[in-house]
This record gives sequence, C-alpha cells and structure tokens, in this order.
Amino acid sequence: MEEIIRFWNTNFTNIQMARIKTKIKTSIFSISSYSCNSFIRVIRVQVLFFGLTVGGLQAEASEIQFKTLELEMDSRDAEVLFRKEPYDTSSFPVAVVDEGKRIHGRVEVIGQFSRNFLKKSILIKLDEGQKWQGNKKISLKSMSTDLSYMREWLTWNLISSLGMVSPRVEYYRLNINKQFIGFFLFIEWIDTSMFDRLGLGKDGEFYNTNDETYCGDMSPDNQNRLQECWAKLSPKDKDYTSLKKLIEGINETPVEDFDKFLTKHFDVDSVINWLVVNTIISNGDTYNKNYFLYFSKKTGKWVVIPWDFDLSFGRNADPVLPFPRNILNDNYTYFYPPELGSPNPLKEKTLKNKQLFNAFKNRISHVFGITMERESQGFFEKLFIKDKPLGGFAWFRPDEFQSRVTALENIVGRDLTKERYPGSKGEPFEQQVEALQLYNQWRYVLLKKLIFDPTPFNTAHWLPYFIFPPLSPVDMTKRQTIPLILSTTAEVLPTDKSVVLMEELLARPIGMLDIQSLNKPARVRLEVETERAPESLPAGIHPSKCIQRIWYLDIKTPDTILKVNMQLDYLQESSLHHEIGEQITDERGLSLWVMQNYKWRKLKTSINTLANVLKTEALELTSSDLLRFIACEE
Amino acid sequence: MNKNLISHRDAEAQRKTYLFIILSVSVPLWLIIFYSNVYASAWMQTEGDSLIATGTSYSIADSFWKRDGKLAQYSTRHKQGVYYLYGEYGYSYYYNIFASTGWTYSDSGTSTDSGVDDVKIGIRGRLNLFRNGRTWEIAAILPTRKWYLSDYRPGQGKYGLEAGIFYRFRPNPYENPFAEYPHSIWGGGLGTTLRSGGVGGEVWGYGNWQKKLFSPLWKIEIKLSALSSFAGAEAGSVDIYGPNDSFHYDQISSDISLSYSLSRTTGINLSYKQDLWGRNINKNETVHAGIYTTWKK
Repeated sequence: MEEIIRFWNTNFTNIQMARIKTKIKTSIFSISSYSCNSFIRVIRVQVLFFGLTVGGLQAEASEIQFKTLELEMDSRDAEVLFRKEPYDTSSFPVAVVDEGKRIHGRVEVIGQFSRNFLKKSILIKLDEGQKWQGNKKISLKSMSTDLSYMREWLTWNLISSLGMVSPRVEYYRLNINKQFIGFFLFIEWIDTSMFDRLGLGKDGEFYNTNDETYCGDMSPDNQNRLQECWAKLSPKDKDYTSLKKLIEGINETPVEDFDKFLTKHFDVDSVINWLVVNTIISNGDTYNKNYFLYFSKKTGKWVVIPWDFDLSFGRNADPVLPFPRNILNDNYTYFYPPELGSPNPLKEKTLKNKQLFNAFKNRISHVFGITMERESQGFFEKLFIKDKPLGGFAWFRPDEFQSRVTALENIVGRDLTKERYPGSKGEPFEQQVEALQLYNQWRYVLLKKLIFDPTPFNTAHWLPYFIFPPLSPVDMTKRQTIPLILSTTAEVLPTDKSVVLMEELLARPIGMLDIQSLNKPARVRLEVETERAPESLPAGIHPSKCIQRIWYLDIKTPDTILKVNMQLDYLQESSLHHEIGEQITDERGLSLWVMQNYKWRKLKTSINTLANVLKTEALELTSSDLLRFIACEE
Repeated sequence: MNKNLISHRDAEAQRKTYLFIILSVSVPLWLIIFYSNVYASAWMQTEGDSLIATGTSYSIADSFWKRDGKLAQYSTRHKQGVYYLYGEYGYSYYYNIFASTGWTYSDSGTSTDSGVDDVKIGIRGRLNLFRNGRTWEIAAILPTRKWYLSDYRPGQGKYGLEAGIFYRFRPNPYENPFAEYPHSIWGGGLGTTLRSGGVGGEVWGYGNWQKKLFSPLWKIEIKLSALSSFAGAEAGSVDIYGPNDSFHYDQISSDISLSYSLSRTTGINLSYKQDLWGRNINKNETVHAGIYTTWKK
C-alpha cells in the first residue's frame, strides 16, 4: 500500500494525500478494534472494508456504535464529581480500565453550560506518558442540554462523512465502578496531535474563536483586535501575524476573485462543507464563534473545523430573553436561509462568488441525494482507481436521515431511564426525537425548493444576500407580527403516498398530507392565515387560548373523496415573533378543531411542541367541503 | 494587670472578624458569598485554588463593662490597630489549609505596645460533601514570643486550639440551574477556643444575614455574635479586665459590612463593628477595610 501511495504522491494535492493515508490508518485501526474483545455494539454497518485496490476505493464505513468506557475511582469521589457545586473545578484520581489494564489519570468537570446540571461533561487527563487509544485526554460530553442526545453526533457524522478534518466522535456508555452513569459523547481532543494523526502535521498554527467576546467574525472592525477575538492554541505565542494576513486578505479580495483566493489559502472543501453543514442543520450560533482554524505547514493551507452544535436542528437562541432562557427555550425554526448566523466575510464572499456558490449548491445537492459528487482525484489516480463517491451522499434525504435517527433512538431510548444523573428538563425523549425527524422533513423540502427549484416565473427563489432591507426601521426589542395569507394548490394522484403543500413564492411548506385514500386525481388547496387570532371559534374558547393561525383546506376537483393524515405547523421563532396565544398555558393541551358544515368539531390531535407541528389522522374531505382549522387549548 | 488595655481577645476577635468578612467574598461573583462567624469560614476553596487577604482595623474604647454588666468610663481613650495577613489553599476538594498572623498596635492612653500576633494554622473540611457553605475547622494557635513577655500581649503567649462549625442555608443549585438567588441567606456558626496552661477558654457563636445589593457585585451582611469564657477562670469576677483571661467575661457584638467585587478574583470589604453588651470587657467600636485576591492553580 505504501508503494502505491508514494507512486502517486506528486500527483495529489497534499490534503488529498493526507486523507488517503488517514483512511488507510483508520481502516487498519477499525479492523483491529473489531477483532478486539471490547464492548462494541455495532448497530448498523453499511460497508466495513476499506482498501486501496485497483478498480476503486470502497466507501468508508458509516456505522453507529455504542462502546462502553469503564472507570474506577473512589466511590465518594465518583459521587462528588457529579453532585458538587457547579463551578467547583476540583479534580479526582481515576483509572480507565482498558482490556484489563488500568490507565491512571485525573478527572474533572468541563464545559460552562452543562456543569449547571447534575449530568456534567467530564475530562480525563491521563498521567504523563499514558494514553488511551492514542489519546492523552478523554473528553466526554454529557449532551445534557440536548435531550435528543443526537444533535452533536449527527452533525459530526455529517462532517466526517463529507471528509472534513474532524475529531473522532463516538457514543460511550460510561460506567464508574461498574455502575452505569449515562450516555456520553467522546470527542477527540482537538489539538495538534489530532492534526498530525490526520496528516496535516503538528507544527502548524492553531486558533480558536474566543467564545466570550463573540468577535471571531473576520470582519474589518475586528481584524485589529485579534488577541481579544481569538485564542492562539499552538504554538503558544502571541504572534498573530499569519491570522492577521489571512483576515486582511479575506477582506481585501473582491468577490469575483475570491475563488482563487480561497484555493490558494484554504482547503476549499473545508469552507464549502462548513457552510453546507451549517445550512443543513440550521446552525446560526457560529461564524463569530464556535469554530477553529488550523494552518497546516504541510499543505500550506488553512482548514476550518466547526464546533458546538447544540443550537441546531431547529433550536434557536432568543434575542431578548435573559440567560439562560435565551439558550434553553422552546423556540424553533426550520426556515432560515443559508446565510443564517453572524455576518462573516469568509461566508459572504464564498456564497457570493459564482464558482464557489456553485460548489456550495452541488454539495447541498449531494447531501440531499439529488446529484452525487465524486471525490476529487489527481491525474494518475484517475488512471488506476475508479472514481469514488464523496461521502455523505443523501445524508439529509428523509429516508436516510430518519433511519439513522431511528437506529439511535432504539439504543438510547432503551437505557435512558437508567441514567444516574439527569440533564436539563424538557419534553420527553420521544418528542425530542420526533422533533428532529420533523425538522428533517420540513427543512429538506424547504431548502430543496429554495435552492434548486425555480419560481413559477422561472426566477430563483433565493440567491445569497439578495435581500431587500426594510423601508422603515424595525424595533427589534418589540414583538413583531407579519400577518400573511399563504396559499398553495397541489396535484395529488391516488398513487401518491404523501404530498407537501408548499407556498410557491416564499418556498415555504405550509402543510403535509399523507394520502390514505383518494378516488381520482385531484387538486388540493391549502390556505393559511398567519399571525392573526381566529375570529370564528367553538363556544367557550377565547381567541387568546388559540394559536394565531387559521388553515383552510379544500378540494378543487369535483366528485372527489380524499382521506389523509395531516401535519400543520405554527410559528414560534422567538419571544418577539410567534403565534402562541397569550392565554395558552401548555401547548401540549392544544387540539385541532375543524369547522365542517358550519359546526365545530374537535379532532384527535397529536402535537410536537418542540417542532410546533400539529397532526391529525384519518381526516376525510370531499369536493363540497371547505374545512377551516384552528388550534386551541380548552 | 492593666485594666485600661484592650484585651487580646478583643484584638483577636476583631482580626478574625475581618478575616472572615473578607473570606466570605472569596468565591465567584455570581455565587452568594456568605460572611461566616467570627472564628470559622463557611467557604471551601476548590482544589488547587489559593486566596490571600490582608487588611486593617482600628478600634477605640472609651468605656468597659464591669462584672455586673454596667458600663464604666475609661479616663483615657483606648486605641488599637491591627494589620492582618491571611492565606488559604485548596489542598483537595475535601480539605483546605489556612494560616494567619498579624501585627497589633495598642495604645491605652498612658502606654503603647506593638508586636506580631499569634500565628494560626488550621485545616477546614466539609460537613456536607456536595454543598459548600457547610464546614468544620480546626486551627492551632502558636504564640509569638514578643507577646509572651509583654504586658500587652494578646493571646498570653499560650498555645491554643480553635474549633468550629458553620452552616449556610443556601438553595440547591440544581433545583433551579443558573438562577441568581435574589433572597437573603442566613447562616450561623458555633465554636470554641482552648488555651494551654490553665488559661480560660472561650465558646462563641454567631448568626448572620446576607443579601446582594444593587447588582451581583455588591453585598451587605449583618452579623450578631457572642462569646463567653468558661472553665479555667477564677471564681467570681473583677471590676477590671485586661489581657488576663483568668476572669470570666462575655461579649455580644454586632457588625455590618459592605463588600464589592472588583473582578472575578479580587474584592474589597468595609465594615463597622460595635460591641453591644458585655461583662469584664471593653466596649469597642471598630472600623475595618480589607482586600483579597484569589488565583487558580
């Protein structure tokens, strides 16, 4: 294998070579770890074998594993570790039990947010000269603020599938003194050793955004206060010259030349993928924080490594609620465009540059399973190796995504009640998981329409930064209401399983129907009045106890009988922009009501209060019906 | 025996009061920091963390309480200044070690003296493994030679042992994570000081109330403390007192303090203390100013 690599060495980019070497090492490690007598439960394996052979490279394995990490420590220390005061930073001696061997170190609590819950993130620093599976430090994230336990893993799974520089991320069942503590996410410590392992060398320059100052946005305003906005992690000096030059270059390069600039200075894929990942998971908590930059002396390029994905997959910070409710809240959005997040010239110019924007769209299309991209290859590689699909194909396509989530749900859900310490309080696990699945359903169709499909006028639904600013100032501290009437008509066939009702101009899904039965092809119309209190109500219900949205559903085609399961959503973007009636005390008490033949009837409703989706089943309507729906709490 | 001198126990009490006012602010700002009793600190440092505090107090006494509790005037004003130095280290999560000393200057109006105070070295531990603000403490008092020879010696040049327990009624931080506790917090403590050589010991206690003011940076604290001597004293009492602790004495004091956090690691404290009642003891009024700083390993 080494000979083949040397033969092609000069024909690959350095980053490509680094990746190939890493994958060979990884595959060897993966094979040897499977043959070990360890506590691995392989849940879903697509491809196990990775080899560099004539005729093609096999795709890397995509699998979900839950390993077990055994720790031994003084029983008193074990309890104190999780139950002590949140901001106490004491550490305790610990031994990691690895195949009968004991590896000694000290364990402490880490993180800022999660330490306020009993289930805390912990860090084990092994004694000098000790390593566990090649790691001197073992970082275990508690996931205590993400009650689905999936956001971080899913995002890292997407990142690594796309071939981005990323740490090793795995679920672990943590046992201390043979007692199950809970599910934790092991994330390899991001330092120069990791970059060395990935073939980028360990002598580069490594920076992290300062997450307390939120000014790592590469803007001209902040390029002269780098020490305040960035922490230089390696080498440990105060020389920010390289970073300064990079940021100056980003700001000075015109948009039309930005593709050349990016190619010269960055691992272009790392930037494109960063934007793609943030778009797909709707991560707005970034671009001024929550990412690393590494300059590899081996490749001569900068690489972006994103970080911290708890505010993703619909979760949204609030602009006015005080801490911690600005983070821990019920806000939910799936409709933000790809520019979401803090302004950042790297993001902006990448999206505005024609070539880079096309690369971005192609990558989204690949992750959506629409068009498959291939890994870039050098000249000689193309001669001997069949081109290999880029990883992550169809990752976000609903069938793929939902099966991944279901697989995780089956494992985590089984033992969740056995966790020794609770995390944050919130909706039950099943609701959290369903919210992820609903996010995927609604976000997928929205982005697909927004980015790829033209409007009825053959124009783009969305182009980056192509927005009209408000004509008059908007007071962002006051509640906003933007009452709209959204309407769409869809052609439905009796063979259709489901139909998404999309408002065509905004590219917004406004409802989803699962077709149970339909006697003939039909045109179905859904109209939604948003952000207004319903005027017609069942007796005894006050408008303030209702969602401020009204839906109308009817069939345009005569002599039609349709039976559907229906999903409708409502808005809860922030404390200043939502449709929650003032007197609604508990969203779980909301029910859909339908007016049919001038009579109100309450429907059996299930609701996901996290994703703000109302569902009802076995709804029947005919051509003569105009069904009016409201959602109220009695 | 000089009845006009502010006694050692007054000086010692004053110094400890201020030490522990300072100590009470030696934690992260957003945590409620509580002023402990006169002799014990309610707060445990995190493993590896250190604290150093210094300050000064100035006391005056124009009168004293006789054995029957009635107030009698001094012919001259008695004054005392104390400069103290205190250090604390989080040896482990379970134990802190601390040490203190000071320098006292006394002026009875007719004579003066000054010198290094006794050195105290102690260990503090947790009464509750999980909640801070609930501690026990034991300290050894090591006399300094200067004071052994002087008429003005506080501590009488005897070895001593001090022990106390402290408790603060703080909310469970996991019931309402992130919540800034806006209400008052009550605390209290009990302890004893024993001395070698047949010198009378003391039993002491206090209760305090504490609240944040204006913002998390400001804190006000009001405390009521009491002490009483026990076995080892001569029977009866005398109309004079001095640095001789052979006679029974009692004291009830109050103090009010205001603390301000200059940063996450540094704070200042100002306080005023007044003795409210006593027997065989000065009626002191004391002002104090101190500063502390903490640092991590």
